[in-house]
Amino acid sequence: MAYSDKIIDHYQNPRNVGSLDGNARNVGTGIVGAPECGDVMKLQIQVDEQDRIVDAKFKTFGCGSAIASSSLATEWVKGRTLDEALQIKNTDIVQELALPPVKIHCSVLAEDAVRAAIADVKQKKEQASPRPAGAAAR
Amino acid sequence: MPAQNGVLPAKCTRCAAELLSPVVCSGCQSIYPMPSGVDHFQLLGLERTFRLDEARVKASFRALARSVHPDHFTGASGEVAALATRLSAAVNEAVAVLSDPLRRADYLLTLAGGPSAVEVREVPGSLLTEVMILREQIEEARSAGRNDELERLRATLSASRGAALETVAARADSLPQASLEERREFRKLLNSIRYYDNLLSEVSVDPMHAAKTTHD
Repeated sequence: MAYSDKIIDHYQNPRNVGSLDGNARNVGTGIVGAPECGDVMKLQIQVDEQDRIVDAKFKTFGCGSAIASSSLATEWVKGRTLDEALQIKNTDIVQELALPPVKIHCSVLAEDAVRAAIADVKQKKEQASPRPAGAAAR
Repeated sequence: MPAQNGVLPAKCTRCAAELLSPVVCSGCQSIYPMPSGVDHFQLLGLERTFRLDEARVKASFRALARSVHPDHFTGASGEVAALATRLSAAVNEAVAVLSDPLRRADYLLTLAGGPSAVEVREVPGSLLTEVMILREQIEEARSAGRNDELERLRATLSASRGAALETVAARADSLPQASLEERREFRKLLNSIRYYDNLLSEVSVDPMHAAKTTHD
């Protein structure tokens, strides 16, 4: 199977490999997996006060396409707001990396990981600063 | 008990002997096309249960495989020879599914109405985090050349897999009465075993061929 230069580049020189402090209030962690191949992907994002993603890290145990997809996803989310990052679609990843059809599920995994990380940080922020009860009645 | 659901002929239409399997007569050894809706258990003349006796599965398979073997039908019409080939494939598929506990459990879940592995991809609780940590530990142990640690991880994984399979065994035979929610939980359990299997192959793989991670 012929892989695109972009997949090979991301696989050989993955961007943003590593971890952020998962306990930090401004860090969201998404861990997703694909039972059929056993791949697991952890993607973390760090946001500033304006909900803009200032850093992203990933760690993926899986095939080259899964690594390339998550590496690309971390590049793409940086600098975006959470809502903008939610616009990233797996089909964009497929197109950018020219993923073969049998590897499309890897891009789905990366999209799921981004969404899970966003959901995690949003939930943390809500818990940390709950809207005052009865605020609307004032 | 091939005729348990009432749709299968109980006797051979040629010699009137009992049919031991829906596709073979025990008397004249005539072969029959697979009646629609016959499952792997019925094909092999086995009770539909997770707790199969392995020796019985093998014995049933051997007898049936011999009866439908295409070599016995080389002189027969093209139609019968083709039927023998199809039946042989079906018998081989049935034994492959029923002899493997994980595939057998998967098959019982499918017979009970699913969900499929495509429909439910989740795993129980915090298993993914656990898998992530185990992967990291395997990687660290490997790069440090700690074979004792790898062996310890392999033993832990093997025990976790065993425990999950025991839960599967305890629940598999109540699947026909289980609610959709219970069947979804069962699928998650099967998914977890697939992760364990993957980890186990990772922990025992030759380090020279283990260049599958992102890490330096």
